[in-house]
Amino acid sequence: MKILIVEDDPDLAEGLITALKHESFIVSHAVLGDEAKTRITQFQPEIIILDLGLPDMDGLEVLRYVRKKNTDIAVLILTARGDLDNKVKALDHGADDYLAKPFEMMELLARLRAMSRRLNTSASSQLKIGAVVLDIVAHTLSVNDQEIRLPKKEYMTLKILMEEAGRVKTKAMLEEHLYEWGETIGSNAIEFHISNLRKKLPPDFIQTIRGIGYTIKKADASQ
Amino acid sequence: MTSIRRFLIIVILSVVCLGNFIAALQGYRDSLAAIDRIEEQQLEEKAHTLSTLVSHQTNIPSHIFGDDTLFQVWQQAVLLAKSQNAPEASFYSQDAGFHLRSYNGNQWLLYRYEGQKPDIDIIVAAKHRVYSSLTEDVLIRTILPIIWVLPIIGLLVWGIVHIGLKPLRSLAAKLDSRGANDFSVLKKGRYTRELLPIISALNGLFGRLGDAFERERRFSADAAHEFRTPLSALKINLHNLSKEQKDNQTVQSLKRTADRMEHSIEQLLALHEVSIDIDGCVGKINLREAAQDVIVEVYDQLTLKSQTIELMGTDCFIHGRLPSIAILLRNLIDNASKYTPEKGVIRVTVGSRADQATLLIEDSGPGVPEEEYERVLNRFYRIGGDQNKSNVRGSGLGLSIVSDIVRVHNANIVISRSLELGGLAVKISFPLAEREEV
Repeated sequence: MKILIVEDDPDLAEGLITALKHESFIVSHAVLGDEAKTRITQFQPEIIILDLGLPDMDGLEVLRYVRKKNTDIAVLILTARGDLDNKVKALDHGADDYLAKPFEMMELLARLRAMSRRLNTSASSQLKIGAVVLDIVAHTLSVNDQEIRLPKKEYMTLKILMEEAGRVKTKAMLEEHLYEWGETIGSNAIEFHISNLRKKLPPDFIQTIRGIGYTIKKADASQ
Repeated sequence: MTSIRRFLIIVILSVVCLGNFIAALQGYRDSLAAIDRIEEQQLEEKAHTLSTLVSHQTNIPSHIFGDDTLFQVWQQAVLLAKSQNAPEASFYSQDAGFHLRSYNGNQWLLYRYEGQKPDIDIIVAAKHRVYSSLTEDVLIRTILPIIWVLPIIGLLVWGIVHIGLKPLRSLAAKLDSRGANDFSVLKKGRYTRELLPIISALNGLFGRLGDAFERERRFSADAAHEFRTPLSALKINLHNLSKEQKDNQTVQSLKRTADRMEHSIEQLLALHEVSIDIDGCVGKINLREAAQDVIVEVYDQLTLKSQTIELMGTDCFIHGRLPSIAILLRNLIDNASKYTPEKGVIRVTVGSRADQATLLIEDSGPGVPEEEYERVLNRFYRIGGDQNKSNVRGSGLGLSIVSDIVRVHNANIVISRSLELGGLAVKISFPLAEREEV
């Protein structure tokens, strides 16, 4: 997986390159917006980690350039301005994800893994948490090596929760995701899917956070 | 002077009244003087007539003049002739010329004329100011119309002042309709000469305010960038270092320091954000949704301590600025998490009662002694100094930022002990926003 880092701060860029190489990514680096544009053609990255505050241009301009040229490249925006406006603006311009500085490296890696899975280029197409394995290419679920059939909406709900394990998803967030995938959702549909999923999964695999939503614990945290 | 218009109307009407009364008074006095002169001329003429008659030795009939006139003709101490209404005794005591004298209940103007013949004294007197009632009548007729006209003048002045103050009103309306962040200069061409100094002063003020606001805004963005980027670099490099040296205590300690620094920086940026929070963006906020969003964001940290969080209550709406309310919620939940031991419980309850929306955040931690409640809210204050017994380090800014946000939103904060969970209970009451609005 090839990642282009567009970041003007040398220490941050250096650290990112080391960390990502350690995770077996192929990494290239650009400091300026113009440099980034040439690198995109030469290096052909699959993911771009883009800092919004570049010395020569607004990072959003690079994003526009990417979207005009090639819509397949996933773009993750890094910014020091963690406000909502910036986030909305970045996502409106076609960014795939958004991370505010300072971030945890683990968080960044999780986001990159989710992105590479979405690009279907990941070495592993499987999401594995404990005894539960969700194959996002074959669209199959297996618990304790036993394959279980899942209806489409339940599969999607579980995929969202497992992809972002350790985070809470509100009912509204889940509904929004399903809606984005062209599904029609009735009221109480999420509760219905979750209750069906629970029957097929190990006990307490999906946890309810009262008044907020649902979550699945990360594999390492549950041990 | 509370109103320029009222002031001008009162002053102008008073001046008009005063001017009219002075003019009327002057006219009255002039009329009286003219009447007096006519009376004097008449007396002189009558005296001359009498003198002529005396010099021709003619017998003077006592009714030669009307009832209003009396006369005496003396030759040394002998009364030669008199009118019927004149007394027998001498009617005069003074020198020649005109004098005033009271007689028979009336004021008389008296004229003593030393006739052409020697030793002859002629005294003629007429009732003084028989026409003065006429004059007074004229005076009232002059003044009365002014009293009728006064309200009309008042209305006219009101209208004129209204038109005259139009530039001031349009300036006020223009300033009123400006956004809180609109610091553009006012165009001078559109205002009257009297307003130009105000416009200039305002433009100067707008310029300085705009610069200050821009500096503040830039500082916020620059500071955010200048702090967060190196901090990110520090954290990533520490991450890399810890990969290489798994059990290095110094690296672990450095990581904790970086986390503390991150926390302080975020609090300082939040404090700045709240303090420059003058740009509108005020809207209706669903407190329950806001709490839900913040909990989703902080959930990661809570799982590190295996803490349970729950949100209770129903939708309720307040007026405010979402970023500030999010900072408030985040700080309170962070604080609850920080002082609550592992596997503890944090409960957020939102609800509305009467005209108030309440936000209650409780935890199962050790709580705060009652005598410390007041001081907890003070900036930089941490219970038991910088290193309290809960062994938690923090910048101490969190709750004071909360109290700033509470103040800005006209809300009210109360600290107590949680009845159900046993730890700290922080209750904030906001004025409820009307459901019908927006």
